[in-house]
Amino acid sequence: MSDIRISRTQLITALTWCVVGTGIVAIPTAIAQFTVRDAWISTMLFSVGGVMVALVTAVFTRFFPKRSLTHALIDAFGPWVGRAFAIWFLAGLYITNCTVVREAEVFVGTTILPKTPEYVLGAFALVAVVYAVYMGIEVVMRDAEFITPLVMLIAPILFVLSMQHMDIHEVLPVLADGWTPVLRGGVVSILVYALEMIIVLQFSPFVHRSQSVASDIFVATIVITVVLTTVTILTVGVVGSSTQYLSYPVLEAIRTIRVGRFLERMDTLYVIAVITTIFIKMAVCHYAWCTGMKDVFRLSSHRVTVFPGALLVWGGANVLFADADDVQQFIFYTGPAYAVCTLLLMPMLAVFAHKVRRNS
Amino acid sequence: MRGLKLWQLCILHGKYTHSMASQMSGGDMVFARFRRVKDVQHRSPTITAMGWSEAIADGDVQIPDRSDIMRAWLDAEWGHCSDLQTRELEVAGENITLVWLRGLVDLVRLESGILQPLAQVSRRRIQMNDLVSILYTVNIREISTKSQLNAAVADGQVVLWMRGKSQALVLDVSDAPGRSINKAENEPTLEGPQEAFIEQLDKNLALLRKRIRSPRLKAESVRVGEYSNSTVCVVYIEGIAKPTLVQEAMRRIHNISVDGLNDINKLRELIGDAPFTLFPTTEETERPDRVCGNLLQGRIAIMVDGSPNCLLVPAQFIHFLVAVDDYYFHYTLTLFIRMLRHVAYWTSLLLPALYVALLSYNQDLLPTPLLVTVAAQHRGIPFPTIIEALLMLMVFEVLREAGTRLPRAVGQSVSIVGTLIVGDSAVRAGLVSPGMVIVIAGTGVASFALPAYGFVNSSRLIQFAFVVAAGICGLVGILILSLILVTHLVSLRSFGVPYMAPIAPFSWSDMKDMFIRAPWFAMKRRPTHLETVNQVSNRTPVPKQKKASGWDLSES
Amino acid sequence: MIREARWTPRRAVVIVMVVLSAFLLPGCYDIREVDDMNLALALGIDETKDHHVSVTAEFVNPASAPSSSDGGSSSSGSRQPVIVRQETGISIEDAIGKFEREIPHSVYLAQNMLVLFGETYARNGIDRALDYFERNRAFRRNQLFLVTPDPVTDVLSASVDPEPLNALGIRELVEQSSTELRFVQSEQQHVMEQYLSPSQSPVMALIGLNQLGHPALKGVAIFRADHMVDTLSVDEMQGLGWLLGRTRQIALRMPCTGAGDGTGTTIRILGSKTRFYARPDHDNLSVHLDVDARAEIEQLCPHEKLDDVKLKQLSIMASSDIERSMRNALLKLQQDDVDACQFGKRIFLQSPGYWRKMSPTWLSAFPKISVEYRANVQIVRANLSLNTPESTVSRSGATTAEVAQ
Repeated sequence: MSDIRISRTQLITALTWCVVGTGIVAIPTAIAQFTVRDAWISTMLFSVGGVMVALVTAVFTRFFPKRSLTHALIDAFGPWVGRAFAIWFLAGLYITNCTVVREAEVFVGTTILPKTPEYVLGAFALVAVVYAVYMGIEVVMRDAEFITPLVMLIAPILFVLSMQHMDIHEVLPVLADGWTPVLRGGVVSILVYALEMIIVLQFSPFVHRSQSVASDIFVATIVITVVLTTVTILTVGVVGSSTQYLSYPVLEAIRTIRVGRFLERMDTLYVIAVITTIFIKMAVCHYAWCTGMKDVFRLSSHRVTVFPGALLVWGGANVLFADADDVQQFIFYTGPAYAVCTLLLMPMLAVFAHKVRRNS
Repeated sequence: MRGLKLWQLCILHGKYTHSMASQMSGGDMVFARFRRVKDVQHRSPTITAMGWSEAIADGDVQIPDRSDIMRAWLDAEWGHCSDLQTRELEVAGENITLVWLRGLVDLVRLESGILQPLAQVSRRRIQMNDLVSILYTVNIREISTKSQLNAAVADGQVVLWMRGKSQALVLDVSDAPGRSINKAENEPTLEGPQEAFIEQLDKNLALLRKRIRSPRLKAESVRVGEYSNSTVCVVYIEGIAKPTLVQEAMRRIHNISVDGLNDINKLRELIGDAPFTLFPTTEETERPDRVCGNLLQGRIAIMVDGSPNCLLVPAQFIHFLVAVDDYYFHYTLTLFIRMLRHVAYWTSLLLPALYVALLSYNQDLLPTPLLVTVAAQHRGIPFPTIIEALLMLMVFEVLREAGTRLPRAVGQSVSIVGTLIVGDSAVRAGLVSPGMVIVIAGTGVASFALPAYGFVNSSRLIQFAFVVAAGICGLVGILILSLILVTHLVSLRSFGVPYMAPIAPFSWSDMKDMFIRAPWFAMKRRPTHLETVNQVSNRTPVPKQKKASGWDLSES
Repeated sequence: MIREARWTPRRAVVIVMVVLSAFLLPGCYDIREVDDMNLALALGIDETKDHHVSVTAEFVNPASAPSSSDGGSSSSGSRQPVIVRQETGISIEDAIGKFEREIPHSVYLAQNMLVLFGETYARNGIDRALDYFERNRAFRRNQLFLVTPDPVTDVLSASVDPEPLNALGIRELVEQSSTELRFVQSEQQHVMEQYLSPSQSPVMALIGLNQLGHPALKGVAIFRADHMVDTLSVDEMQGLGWLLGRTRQIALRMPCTGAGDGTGTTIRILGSKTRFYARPDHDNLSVHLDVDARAEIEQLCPHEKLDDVKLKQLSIMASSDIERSMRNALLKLQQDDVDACQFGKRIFLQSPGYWRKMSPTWLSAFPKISVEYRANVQIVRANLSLNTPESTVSRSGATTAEVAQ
């Protein structure tokens, strides 16, 4: 059978790594700008965003079963307006992808390869991404599946080991400063990271039953929320108030690990686990972008745009952001508004237009 | 399926139609196949000029009924074949010619089963049918074309032709030289059966038949090879193996057009899925018991006459980490050994690279006392770690190669000289650090712990790539290369089955025979990714600890 | 039909390119051979008279470490296992930069496990160093921050036999004490935690040289924010331990009631837990500390009999000993006006609102806090003997004496 199928497990794992990959790096820092002690409550708010995405997906897949978002946009608005919208969405995806690549570059560059130029690291990672995307969605998804047990092996070890330095008093008292900072901190994690899951709509034609996509998102949301909350509690418990000024608090939590004289400085392992998950995220985003391009420009295959697209992303990642601070500013402040416009409104608009056209 | 039909057409219409048909269906044709087709076109005139293939090309030319034409034809066709024997007899007034190749025929049976009965015939005007009943001790079939005659003679059978008939009889008394069945040398086991395949296909098939005594065990044969004309046999169990899988295998075998095919590796390269990959996408074994076990799982076996190995498809990653012993030992032990083997595989792939990365890039991962020791060891070594590692790996590979090719007695001394003397003095001379020797030796030992030789060879090559990656970018380099490797692995398919199947795509039920071997009573189903016709393989109830009530039964 | 993964030559070229470029792209920017680096195990930071920073680094001497090439036996005695070098600069990074210029092989800081502050530097404020240590990727936050009253170079080059490497030895010293009192293990992260907590008073272990010239744990140094204010001796350190919370395996020595012949009763506190109650008042804050401890007897005074009365007596003695030690420690802290006992943090945990009102005047309020102590030591076991050996002797002795009489 030549048509491609994605299983539910694959979709859920891929979604989880998509969010957790960069989320684990950026979310604790982002929330710590507003609140440190109650950061974990903020991360719990991720579930709200996730449910929102699941609802949008449910509505979308009801009206456009077996349609990718870009395809649906073209169907709903007609060839010209639809294409304009689709290109707007693709631009959004492109920028997301650039951000992810740059984030990863900065992360690796700061943590383990300080002397290597960042753009080289980006190119290096994109080589693997290009190969995976070129081989198709099945391969990307299987990559995610393959990586899952490995990461699930490393992560618990790291977190159990870092628990020895945890001080529960660092997360107490609960809500000492009230709900306002918690909600403000939550906005970042909810909006940017949860809404990124909308990307799944690009894959809905490949999913076994498109009705199940919404419930898959829901499951992924629960998993991600649990993971992020656990990580945040641990990080704040270990790192304490320093979370606010450290760039990578989770990394710092891992760096505290010291078991006897033989097991310490495990942070490189963590960085490696993170790169692995970010790789999945990059591959998924890039694949979504490539299929979008295929729909919009009626290309024969998504493969046409894989390599040039990767070059574009590489260029964009290094040119769009002046420095690491710029990336953070974008994620923390510009990102949320942008995500709402692009990721949430786009599918709803498509559904709306579809309904209007059908009624008239 | 379309391919299969086309192929049936091809057989009917001969060579040229074949190549044209291939071109017609060549929309998704791989380059290599194009080339193969081109070669056939290119070579055809020569073949025709040589005459022998002419018979194949227009295969249904009748056997001549006149004896002078027959003799002339035989002289032309089998001229310069000094081992061809023709014997003309007169049996009850009829002229009979026997044709066979010396050495391929059982002379005792030729004497007692054919010549003696023929000499005793007294009846006049015998027919072909009478001969069949006279020569009742040998297996007889009737042929009517020249090409069939050629094939029968080449197969080592005796062809009996009677003047005035445009048919001939093939008397099966062939006895090609070959060795007897021996112990399995490449896949030894401690507790299982010890038989191994030999170079004769019919014996090999018999080895399978005696283990699966059912008509459902099917063996479909195809003749492959322009000149070698060897038999390729696809063995499967009807009602278990997925029918499209068998069709796909047959289609690929039918597509083969080579001069000679006598070895399983040639076949494997011709029909394998991903020609450029380092990982084997077919599995080979010399053990009939292993083949039987796999047939019952829903895989199919492909055997070639002349090869003491059998090809098992589809092959997946996990199959190469499974040894036959796993099934002959108690499962509790197997559980541990399988885990060990998985670790050994990744060790053999990554250990030198990790060592290089830890020593030249990520020293912070090493505990301080260890780093101090390692740094002290490495002090004064003239090469950077990466060069040292590549050097040692090369030396190790050379030693390994030297040990393999030499006779066993010499081989041992080579390994002693290599490992003990060269290794030790290299360390003493300060050319390599002891740590590196330990690492390379550990890698070698880990690779010896793996059961599948062909698979290990892939990791022998890939470990170089990893060492280079580690030398360029440390752990990140290893990581990126592993991501590429994993992507490659998950993108592979063997006869449609994903290579990394129980892990990606994930299937919980298939895990029972993956990292562990579940006890037999727990393995109820065949692997799902093989999409077998019949899923259930085991209907035994789970054994329970029972009270000793059974004594009464045994007494009554 | 089964889907075949077909390989076109284009695809092969793509893959070859992918792999090749993967190899060639990154260049060896970050390569750093083990031969070419000086493994720094400890950094000592002190201040010179002209307010420059002097950095002392302890490097592993690769020549002295055991190696197979020289047989292992010859070298260890003759050469120093570590090399100690000192540089002065206007800041820490400036001084470390000088190492690069003056010592062959580059400095490798990622294995650093100690940062030893000289007392002068610590008293003048460690805030000059904190950002550097927090920001630099080479330093792990589990390195120890220590203070020494002695010259840094001397401490770092002192021998810590049987451990060959000085830094490892010092770290082990601190870790051994930290099994009793957690806070002695002043890793960077804990120091930072205390520095940023409401109480703002980090505590660092104090390492000094003893009479023989070997490093020893001398107590702890207490800081008000970033300035070192005072040191606590080992005894006062125990008091601080009880003020702070959990302790383990502390031995309490009490003199014998009758004979003052140098021996005494020793009780080993197996574990203790301190509960903290603050009663917020408008004017002055009163704090109640409740210590619960379990103990075993390590040594009894000779001729003493272990019975109910004695046990009760012992536990009362131990309790009052603990209370006294807490009182002494707190007195010193209040005199120094350093909230090393983390009262501020604990008040914040109990009632954040109250703390918010309190915090601006905390430094002036802290010395005035009235504290009630209540310690309760429960002796849970008497170890291997039920009584002193002399108790039997004295009993029989008494009987013989009586017989004689």
